[in-house]
Amino acid sequence: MRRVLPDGLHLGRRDHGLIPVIAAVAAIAALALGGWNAARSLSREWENGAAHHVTIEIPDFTGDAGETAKKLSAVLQSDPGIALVETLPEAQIRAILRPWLGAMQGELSDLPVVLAVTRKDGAPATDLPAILDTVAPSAILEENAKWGERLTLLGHSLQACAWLAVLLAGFATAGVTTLSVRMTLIARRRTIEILHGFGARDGLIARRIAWRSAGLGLAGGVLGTVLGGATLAVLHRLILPFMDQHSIGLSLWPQGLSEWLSVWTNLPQPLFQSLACVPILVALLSFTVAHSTVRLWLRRLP
Amino acid sequence: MIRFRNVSYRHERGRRAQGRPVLEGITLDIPQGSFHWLTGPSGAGKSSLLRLMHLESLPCEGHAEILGVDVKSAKRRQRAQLRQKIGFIPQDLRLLSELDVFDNIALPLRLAGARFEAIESEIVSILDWLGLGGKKSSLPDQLSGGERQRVAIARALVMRPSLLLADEPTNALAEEQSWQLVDALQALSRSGTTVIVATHNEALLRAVNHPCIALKNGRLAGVAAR
Repeated sequence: MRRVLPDGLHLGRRDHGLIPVIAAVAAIAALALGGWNAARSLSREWENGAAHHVTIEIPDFTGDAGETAKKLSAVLQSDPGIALVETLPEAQIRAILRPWLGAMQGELSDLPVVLAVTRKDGAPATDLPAILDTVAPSAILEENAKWGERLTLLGHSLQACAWLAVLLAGFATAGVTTLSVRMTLIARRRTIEILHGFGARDGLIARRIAWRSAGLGLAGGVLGTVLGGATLAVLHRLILPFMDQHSIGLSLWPQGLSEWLSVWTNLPQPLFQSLACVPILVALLSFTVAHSTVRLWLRRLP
Repeated sequence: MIRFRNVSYRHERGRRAQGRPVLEGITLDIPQGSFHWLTGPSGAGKSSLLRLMHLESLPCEGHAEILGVDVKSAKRRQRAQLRQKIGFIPQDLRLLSELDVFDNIALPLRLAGARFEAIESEIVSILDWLGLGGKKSSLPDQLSGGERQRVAIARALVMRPSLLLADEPTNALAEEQSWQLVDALQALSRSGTTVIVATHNEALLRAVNHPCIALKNGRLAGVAAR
């Protein structure tokens, strides 16, 4: 026995063509969100790193660089604006120089001493040049903060670009949905006129078509987000060794089901949450656009 | 009750009404529960007048009141509510080709929020009465012209309308079915529904005495009590 009475506004096979188009747009939105997330993390890292880290290089022209470094280190450690002073081990300096000096670097005996200084968060800035002038006049100060402003701007620009891409994806979704709804209205004009003639309210007709569009939008959104999310998950696995020392030995492709699942769960939480929102937002946007398009079109009927 | 005062109508092109008036200066009073014939030669404006009464078009000029509602000043929601009280049997029948006979007839009730269980027996009995009992699962394209006409009639009657408009409803019907339909429409009128039937069928006009609205060239030629 039938329970639901049809009203002639059911989905046609042709309407399902909207799903792959929305999926493509949603995938682009998902990738853009991935880009925004990466840009935000980088931006934060750059901001923190550049603002707090300073490198001091003490050349060893006279053979007393080690002594000067010890004195300087003591002065800096007692400064309230400095959180940490580390002397880079000689092996690490040699490793850094290896690409430039090759086999020659083994013969070098007058390597500079390098101090990595971390400023204390929120403390008044220490006047490092003044300290260096007094304690180690030959030292070279690499103040990373001078790059900070530029890097922050770059980070913000990248985030803005990512949001612009998300916004464009939203516009594309709205445009595609409008087009699809207008095609539906043309194809079902007669049906809609008949329903209107029987006293169907504008809201009822608009809701019926809008729910269909929302359903198609949700299906396309889920499909696109899964595709975009999978791409992001693979990219995330590829860059993991650069971010985490423990992941250096990680194979290129996940092994086994648990590792495949971990690819997803390893995605940063904010990215995971924003990806989960994509299908819902696409469905909401489709509903709103379809509803207003139909309502506007129905105005031509008395 | 239908009250038209100096109503004119022109076909719309785009958003503007243009050209020669299809209906001009129509003034009418049709009391509730009455039965009226609507006659006139082809192109006289019969279908246009019925469409105005069904609110498919709005008058370009004049005042039109249908079932107590001023159709020009009414809000869209009010017009939609009003349409639910008007049954219409159009000449082109307007059956949805993808819905079967049962669903086509149930359509106005479905839009009014009725559930399948509540209307099934009513629709089945009206189908039986119109001789369509065995066709309820057929699609309109599988029916003859007369059968399709009867489906459109059933769909208009099942709404129990306050106003029933019929545009040449006996066109595709056999003579016996035509008389059967006219009897049903008269019974409906006696129960309080206003019935207006546009027809060319001289035999019906002669045999069934009801007031006759005559149109000629879009103007009211007269309302004759027969």
